[in-house]
Amino acid sequence: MEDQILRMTNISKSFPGVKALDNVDFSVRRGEVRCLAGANGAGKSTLMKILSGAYHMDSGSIIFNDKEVINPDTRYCRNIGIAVIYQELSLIDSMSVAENIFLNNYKHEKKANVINWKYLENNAGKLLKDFNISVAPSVLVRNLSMGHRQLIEILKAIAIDAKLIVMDEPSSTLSKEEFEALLRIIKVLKNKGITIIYISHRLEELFMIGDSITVLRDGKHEFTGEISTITQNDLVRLMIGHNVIPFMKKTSTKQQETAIRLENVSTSSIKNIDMEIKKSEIRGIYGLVGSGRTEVLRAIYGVDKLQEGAVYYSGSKINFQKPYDAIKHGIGLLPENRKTQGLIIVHPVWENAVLVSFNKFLKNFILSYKRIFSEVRTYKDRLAIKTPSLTTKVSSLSGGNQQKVIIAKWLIRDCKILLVDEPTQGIDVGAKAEIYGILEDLASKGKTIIIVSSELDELLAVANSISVMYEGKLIKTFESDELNVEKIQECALTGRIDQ
Amino acid sequence: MKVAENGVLTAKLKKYNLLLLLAFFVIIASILSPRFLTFQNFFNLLQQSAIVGIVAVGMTFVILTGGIDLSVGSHVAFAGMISSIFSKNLGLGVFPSFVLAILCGAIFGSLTGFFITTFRIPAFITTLAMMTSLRGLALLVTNGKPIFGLSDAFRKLGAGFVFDVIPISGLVWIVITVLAFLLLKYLPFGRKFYAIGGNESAAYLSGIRTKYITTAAYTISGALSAFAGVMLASWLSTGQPNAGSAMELDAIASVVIGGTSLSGGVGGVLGTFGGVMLLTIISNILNLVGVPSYFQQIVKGIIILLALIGNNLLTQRKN
Repeated sequence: MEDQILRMTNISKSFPGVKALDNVDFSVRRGEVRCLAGANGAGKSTLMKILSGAYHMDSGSIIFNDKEVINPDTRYCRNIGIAVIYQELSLIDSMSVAENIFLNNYKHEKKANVINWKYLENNAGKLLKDFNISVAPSVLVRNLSMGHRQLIEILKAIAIDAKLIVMDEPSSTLSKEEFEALLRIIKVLKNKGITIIYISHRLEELFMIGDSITVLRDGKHEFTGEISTITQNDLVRLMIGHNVIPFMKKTSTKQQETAIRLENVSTSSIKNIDMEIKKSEIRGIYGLVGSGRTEVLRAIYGVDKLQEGAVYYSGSKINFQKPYDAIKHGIGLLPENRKTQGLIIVHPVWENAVLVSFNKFLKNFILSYKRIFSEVRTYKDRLAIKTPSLTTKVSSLSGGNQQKVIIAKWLIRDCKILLVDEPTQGIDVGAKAEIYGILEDLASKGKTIIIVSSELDELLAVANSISVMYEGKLIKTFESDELNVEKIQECALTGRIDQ
Repeated sequence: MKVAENGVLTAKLKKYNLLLLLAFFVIIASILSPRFLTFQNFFNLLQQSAIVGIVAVGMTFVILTGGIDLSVGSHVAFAGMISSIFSKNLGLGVFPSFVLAILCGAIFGSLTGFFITTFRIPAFITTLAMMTSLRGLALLVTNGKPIFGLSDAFRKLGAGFVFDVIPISGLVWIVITVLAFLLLKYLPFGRKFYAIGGNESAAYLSGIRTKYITTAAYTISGALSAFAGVMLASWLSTGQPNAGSAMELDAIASVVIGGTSLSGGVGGVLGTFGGVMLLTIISNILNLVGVPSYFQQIVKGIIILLALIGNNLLTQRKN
C-alpha cells in the first residue's frame, strides 16, 4: 500500500437547501502535488474547509498522518500540520515580513512570552534565503507585490511545520514571473516531502504544476488519476460534463460610428492614451498586472482625475468628476472585485440589481416594489441567474451568478457603454462561456463594451479588437484582422512591436 | 429536506426573536404586577420611551450607514436650552422656538457629517468632539443654570395628552417612526443609507453620492435629537444643561437590540421601536421589583448583553 498522508472517506456535507458534498473520497500520497479541479459549486472549497476544520462534515472520516481527525477546529488542524492558503491572504499589512511569518507562532523562542526580535528576523531571513526570495525580513508587508505576499504566506505555513499545504487559487493575481517563482517554490517544497493540494481555475497551470488530479462535479467525486493520463479537453469535459463552446472569428466594427474616444488621456498612472471605440464593439484591454489596464477604465468612469487630455462621448467632450456623472450618461462599470466593489454582499439580489436605477421604479415619488420585482425577475430569466429567490442575499450565490446580477444591474439601467474589469475571475468554465455569450449578445444589440482581462484567451474569445498596455502606455491596438496570440503576448511582455 | 426546514425556522426566529423577547418580558412584568397590562400603563411606557425613542430613530439612520453618533445626548441638552431661551427670554412663540432649535440641531448634525465625509475623520471621534463641544455650549448659554418656569403652551408637547390619556409625546414618536420607516423603505433616498452601510465603495461606484447621503444621516440624527431635546424640556418644564447625558448609550443599545447591524446596511426603525420598548419595560420591571437605581444600571447592562447573546445563539447557523 502506498504511503498516504491524507485519507478522507465518504465525506458528506449539506447546507440549508443544498447538498455540497455527497460521499466524496479524497486521498493524497505523501509528497505529491495534487490538483483539485471543479466548476464553481462543485464542492472544492467546502472539502478544503472541512479539511482545515472551518466546517464540520455531516458524515465521513478523515485520517491524517495515520491518525484519525475527530471533530477538528482550525487551530487543531494547524497544529497537526495542515495549512490552508486562501485567495484572500491573511497577512497583516502593517507588520513586517518576519513578524507575519511567525505570527502567533513563537515556539522557536527560548523564553516563552518575550519576543526576541533579532532572533525572529534571523529565522525569517534564513527561510527567505532557503527559498531564494529576495525580500528583507524587516520590510512591511504593505510594500510587497501580490506575488511576494503569496510567497510569504507559504513561508508562514512552512514556519508552523506544515506537512500539507492547500493553495486555493494562488495564481489568480500573479503575473507570469510571479507565477514562475511560485512554481519554483512548489518544487522546493516537494523535495522537502511536503504535500500540496493546488486549486486553480487556470487549467493550463494544473498541467504545469500537478502530479495527479482530482475532479469534483456537483459535490461528487468524478475522477482521480495521474495528470499525464488526461488532456486539457478531457479535464474540461470532466468538470462541466460537456464541451465548451469554441470561439468564433470576430467581425470588424470599423464601419460603425464612434461611441467613445480618448484623446491624449493621462492620469496619475496612465500616460497619453489615444483610443477610439465603435458602437457594437467589444474592445479588449490586455496587459500585465500594473500595466494600467484597469486605470483606463477608472479614467473613463470618473474615478481617477484626468491630468491632461479629454474623453469624447457621442461626439461631445465630457468631464466626469465621479461615477455618478458617468452613470448619468449611460456608462456602467463591472469592477474587478465583485465582492468588495461590485456588490453589496449583505443585500438581496433585487436590491443589488436596482441599485443604480431606483428612479426608474418611482410611482408618485414612491418606490413600486411590484415593478421592481417584475423587472428584476425578467432579467433573472433573461440572464439565467440561478438563485433560490430574488430576496436571497447575493453572498450565497456562486461567482458566476453574482457577476450576472451586476450585469443585470446595468442592463436595468439601460447603459450604452459597459466597462468590464476581469469579469470571469474565479468563475468556472461553464459560467464563463455564459458570460461571454451575454456580452456578445449585448454588443450585437448596439452596446459598446470595454473589457479588461489578464487572460488573453478570454479576450480572444469575445473581443473584436485588443489594445495592449505596458507600463501605463498604450502600445498597440490589434484590430480584428490582426489578432495573433504570439504578437499580443510579446507586446504585453516587452512593450515593443516587432514588425 | 430537513436541513432546508431548519433554515426556514432559524430565519423565522431571527425575524421575530425581538417580539419573542418582548413577549417574555411582558409576561414577567404582568406576573409581577397585575397593573402592568393596562392601557394606562401602556401609555406610561410610551411616554417614558418617547424621548430616547426619537433619538434612536435618528441613530438608526446613522448606524445603517455604518457610522455612530455619540453626540445625541448633547444635542438633546442644547436644543432644550435654546428652545427655552427663545421662548422664555426672547419671547418667541412656542412653535418658532421649537423649529429654530430643531434647525440648529440639523445644522450641527450636518456639520458633523461634513467633517466626517470631507476630512475622513472617523465618526467615533468626530461625534465625540461634537458631543463635548455641544455640551459645553449648552452649559455656556446660561452659565450652567437651568431655565425654569416655561409656559403652559411650551409644556404641551412633552407633557400633554390627547383625550386626557394618550400622551402627545408617544404619538409623535410613533408618527416619526412610521415616517422614517416609509422613507427608508419607499424612497430611493432611503435605500441609499442601506447601500452605503452595506458597502461604501460599491455604493460609490454605483453612482451614489456617498458624502451627501452620509451627511444627511448625521443631519437627520441631529435634528431628531434636537426634537427629543425640545420634548424633554417641555416634559420637565425646564431647560436642563445636563439633560440627555449618556442617552447615546440607550439609543445605541436600542438600535442594536432592534436588529440593526453595527457594521451597517441591515436593519430598520421598526426594530428600533421594539428595542426602545424592551429597554423601558426592563427598567419598569426593575422598579417594580424595587431594585435600587445604582444596581439597576448594572442589571440593565447585564440584561442587554444577555439579550444580544441569546439573539446570536438563536440565529447563528451551526457549522
